[in-house]
Amino acid sequence: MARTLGSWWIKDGIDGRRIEAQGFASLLDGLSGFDWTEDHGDSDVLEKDFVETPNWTERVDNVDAVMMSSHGNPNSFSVWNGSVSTSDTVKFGKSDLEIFATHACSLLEHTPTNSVGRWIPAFDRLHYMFGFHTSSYSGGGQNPRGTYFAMYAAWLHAVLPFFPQYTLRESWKKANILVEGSDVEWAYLRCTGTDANGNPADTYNETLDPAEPRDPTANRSFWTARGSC
Amino acid sequence: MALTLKDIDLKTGLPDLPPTIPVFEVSAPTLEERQPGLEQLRDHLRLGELRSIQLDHALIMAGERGEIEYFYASGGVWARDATASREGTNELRRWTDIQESENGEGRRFTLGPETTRRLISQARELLQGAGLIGREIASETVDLDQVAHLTAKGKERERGAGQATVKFSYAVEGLPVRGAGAKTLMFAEPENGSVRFTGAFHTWRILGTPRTITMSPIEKALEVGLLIDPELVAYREAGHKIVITRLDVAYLALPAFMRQSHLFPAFQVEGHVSDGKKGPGFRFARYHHAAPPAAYVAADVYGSYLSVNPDGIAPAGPHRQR
Repeated sequence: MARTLGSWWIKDGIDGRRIEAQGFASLLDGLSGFDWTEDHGDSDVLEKDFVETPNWTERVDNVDAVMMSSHGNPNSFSVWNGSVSTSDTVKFGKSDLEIFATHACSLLEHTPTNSVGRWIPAFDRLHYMFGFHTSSYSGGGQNPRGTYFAMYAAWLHAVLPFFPQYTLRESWKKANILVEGSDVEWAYLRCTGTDANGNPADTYNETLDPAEPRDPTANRSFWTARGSC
Repeated sequence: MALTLKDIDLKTGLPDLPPTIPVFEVSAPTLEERQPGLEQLRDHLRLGELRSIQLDHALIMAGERGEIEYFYASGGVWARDATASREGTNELRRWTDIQESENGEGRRFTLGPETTRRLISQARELLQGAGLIGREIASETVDLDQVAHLTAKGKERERGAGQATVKFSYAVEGLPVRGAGAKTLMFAEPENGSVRFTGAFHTWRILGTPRTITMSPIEKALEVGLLIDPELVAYREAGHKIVITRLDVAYLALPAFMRQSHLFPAFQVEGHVSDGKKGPGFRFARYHHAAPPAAYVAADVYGSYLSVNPDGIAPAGPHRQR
């Protein structure tokens, strides 16, 4: 079964945000083993896509990997009808989601007074949350961020088998070094552990492949890293 | 309707704009010009035999030990020893000379001054030998990736440093050059008490002849981009407060995969929008033009990225430079 992809974007007058999110899913959609099945923009980006809502399947969990372009701050990211915050009940990966990547500014800020651990409750079976410790930019060549993330995470290795595949964490770092100035800091939060049967589900060197990886659902701990672009 | 300065809560001073600014022609080093440097990088990183393939954005030379990427648009170069990433079990690295400092914004691990000096010197020597560093260096630093290991309840179990990046940044005519296309980086890992370089990224176009463009007073210059930013206008009209925390004048270097024939001035802007009718508040960061298209036309300077484009500074078909 193919890995499925989603793009969520709020333009707010800036079309680059749509290009950024769709670029991730559309590049991979051309590969066998990947299907772009969810694409939602502007007024179709709803809080209930992300937050547990009775009698509703959160659409973000219909896919394995999501690229989202909307605004943010350390405690929330924007949706059309509000925001999704650390005080909401979010269970990424409840059905499927393993990778959530967002351009939202400062979402993964990690400081002594506001630990990025505030996002841990959003990890059900989620593996990686990718974002920024600082603000991220628009308007200076950032539109292909999602395309380059997909290219290094999976596409290049898929079309050129002799190209050594980047891990997910390295591909997020590289995509952002390519599109951002060096005063921006990329960041991620990842879950690692074992699956329910005690098999290792170590996400450190996880790559984006057509095959589903094991989910870290037991013996969990979390790693966060950030660095300058 | 366009914003005025009265619509903005400016937490930083208005920058000084000189009456004129030189706009430099820039060019991308050819693959032939880059070739000796690429070979040196390949040898230093011990990448072995590489196979080449031309993609839309770059020539990729790859083998099982890593790759070199040459970006046609800028002459930029990325090189990686892929074997380095397969080692280790997590992000933490055991640097021997490390210190942690804390300021109002948080904690940060840095290398000690002696290791920092040595690392910069080694990186500079390697890059200069390969012709992969510009003459217009303004600063040189070493940044460490900042790493923390948390329990399932979010309690910090361990923290430390990861990979090191030696960073060279650029300035021209006293103005910093910002954006993704103005940096030279070398990535390094600790190894047996020493340091091993595991990759590099160099993106800096060669400066050519300057042409002078006339700048407007700062209030007018902000009308070119920032004050007509469609998103900020919409939020202000809905009653949100727009706060600017950073407003720098800089030259903007576009990413390595984009064509750029002139180094031009831009505003680098950061700020936040308050909660309000349109939704919760958020932070933002944008680049905006500092000179209108007409100023470039008057100086006989043309480029698709010099047009007025609601998306910011990026080429867009329908937007003409006028």
